[in-house]
Amino acid sequence: MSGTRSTKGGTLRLRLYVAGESPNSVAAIRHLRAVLAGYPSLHAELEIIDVLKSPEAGMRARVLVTPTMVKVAPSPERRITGNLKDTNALVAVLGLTEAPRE
Amino acid sequence: MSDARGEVGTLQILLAEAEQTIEALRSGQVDAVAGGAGVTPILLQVAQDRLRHSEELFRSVFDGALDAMLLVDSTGRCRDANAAAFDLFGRSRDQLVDEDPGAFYSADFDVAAARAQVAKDGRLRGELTVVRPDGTQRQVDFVTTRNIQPGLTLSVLRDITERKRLEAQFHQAQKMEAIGVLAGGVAHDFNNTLCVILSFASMVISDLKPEDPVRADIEEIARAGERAADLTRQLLAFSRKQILQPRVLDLGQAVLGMERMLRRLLSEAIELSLPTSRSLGRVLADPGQVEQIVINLAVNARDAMPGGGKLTIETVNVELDADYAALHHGVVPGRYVMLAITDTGAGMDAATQERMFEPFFTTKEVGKGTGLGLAMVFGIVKQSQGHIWVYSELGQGTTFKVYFPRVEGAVSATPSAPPEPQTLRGHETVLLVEDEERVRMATRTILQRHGYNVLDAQSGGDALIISEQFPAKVHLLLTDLVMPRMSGRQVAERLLPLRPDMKVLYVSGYTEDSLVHHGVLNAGIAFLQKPITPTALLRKVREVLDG
Repeated sequence: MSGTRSTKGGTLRLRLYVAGESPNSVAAIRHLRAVLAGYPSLHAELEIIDVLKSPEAGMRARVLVTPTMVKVAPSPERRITGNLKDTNALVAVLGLTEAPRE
Repeated sequence: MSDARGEVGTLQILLAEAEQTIEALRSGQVDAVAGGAGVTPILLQVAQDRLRHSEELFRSVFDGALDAMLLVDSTGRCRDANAAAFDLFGRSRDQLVDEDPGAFYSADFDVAAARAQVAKDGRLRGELTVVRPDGTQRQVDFVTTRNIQPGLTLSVLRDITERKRLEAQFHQAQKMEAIGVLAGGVAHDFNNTLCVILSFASMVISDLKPEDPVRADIEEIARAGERAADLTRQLLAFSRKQILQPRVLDLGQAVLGMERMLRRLLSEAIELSLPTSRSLGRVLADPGQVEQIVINLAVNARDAMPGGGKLTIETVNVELDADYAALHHGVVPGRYVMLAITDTGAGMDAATQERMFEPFFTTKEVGKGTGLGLAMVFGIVKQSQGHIWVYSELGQGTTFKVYFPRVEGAVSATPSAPPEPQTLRGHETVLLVEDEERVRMATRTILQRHGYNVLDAQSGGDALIISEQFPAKVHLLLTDLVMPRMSGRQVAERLLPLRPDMKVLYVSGYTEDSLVHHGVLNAGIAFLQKPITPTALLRKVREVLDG
């Protein structure tokens, strides 16, 4: 059961910018939730923002394409674009050092 | 150094992110691209789509609405209208759009005040009347809302003409019901009084020698009493408290049977036509009452055509459907036979039509009409489960349409009129039960003077005791139907097992008794309706005793 470790600096704050229920947006939500579920001890806050409903929020965050996930905290801010099916890339952006064991 | 390294690190991260973004774009993992110079403003497109969608939604609501909708600009011009509005206003698109709809409302609606109100409160709700190009009017309920789109007010108008009409019909029905109750009560009280007047007048006349100078005066009293009795009968008919003896009828044949009488009634200048159909349905109605309906409506038609004209009395099968029933208070959908009486006379204005069925309402000169003719027609039709409607236009003429529900079954044979009794006298024993003392006394005296042996009882209980103590045969039980405690019917039920040969004759001014169901008399029951003249009483007593 070892091999999991949360990032340093406490809560992981994430914003996932999606476009309604478009396929890649839905997939991104699913992939992100699956990864987070693999780290039960991780304290993460996930905010999902639909740019179709609040385009201004997307503009403010300079999100040019959806889906885009922004790691707001802990710094540095990192972002990743796409449907997040590349779990290794996602884990790297999140700052999680190791993938959970199956 | 560390700063520079930090910046390089940040740039590397940004580059990596940019590469990742491009890879994500390349591999189709991205849904939408937004903002930024040179990037297709998909979000703008999305926003435009949403706007277009909401416009389409508005359009489909606007076009598909059953209520009329008008978009009016600040100058009062109609900028757009839906199909329901074209229907409501009776105008094409060209005749409505770009026009001021305020010009199409009746004059009693203050368009300027309404617009000011909308400008102030943002919204106005009310009623107004739309006048169509052909002059017909529609009553509407409307809501006007300001700034539904910049500079445009939206008015939604609902046609409530039919609802208003139904409400008016309902109020009319209630009013007629109330007047009916009043008239029925008056007639009931009047009956007994008339009975006494007529009985004693008749007795005094028979006591007087033909040359007696008082005789003419008493005869005048009797005639006045007869006229009053006639009015009472008509009032009872109106208040639906008359006792009907319905039979299965062919209305067309019934009307044809009246042709000679009708021709006598009408002037030569009136052309009479009586179309009917061979396959006419049957109705259940009292033939005497049908005759009353036809005569009254024919007389009215005649009086509406002093210079001559055409009177058509048509009988035809009709089907009243749910749509018709929805527009006519009290109508049950189904198959009916319609009796339509159409004249080419003066017609009636709306005020007259509203009151024409009220008793004592007349447009004829004082002394020319009683104002009871149509009231009686109305009562008879309603009591026969029928409906009556009138269509009239000033100068064009009037049509009364009377609907009777259709029934199955063969036309009943017309019972032959009972033979005129040879004599009005008799020797038989009559048990008379009547709770009204003056009436009892008058009836007893009449019968005794014509040779009958009369046992009189003031209640059902008394009648049972008298019967028990009377050792000989009682030939006839003559009883009022409606009495406190024991009804005439109960008296008969108690006495008949003991005296099976005894004949029974009921008297009543009233239909509210178990003997009669909704005023319809069971066949085979001998019955006299108050007010009764002495001759009618003596004749009926003989008829029942000899029958």
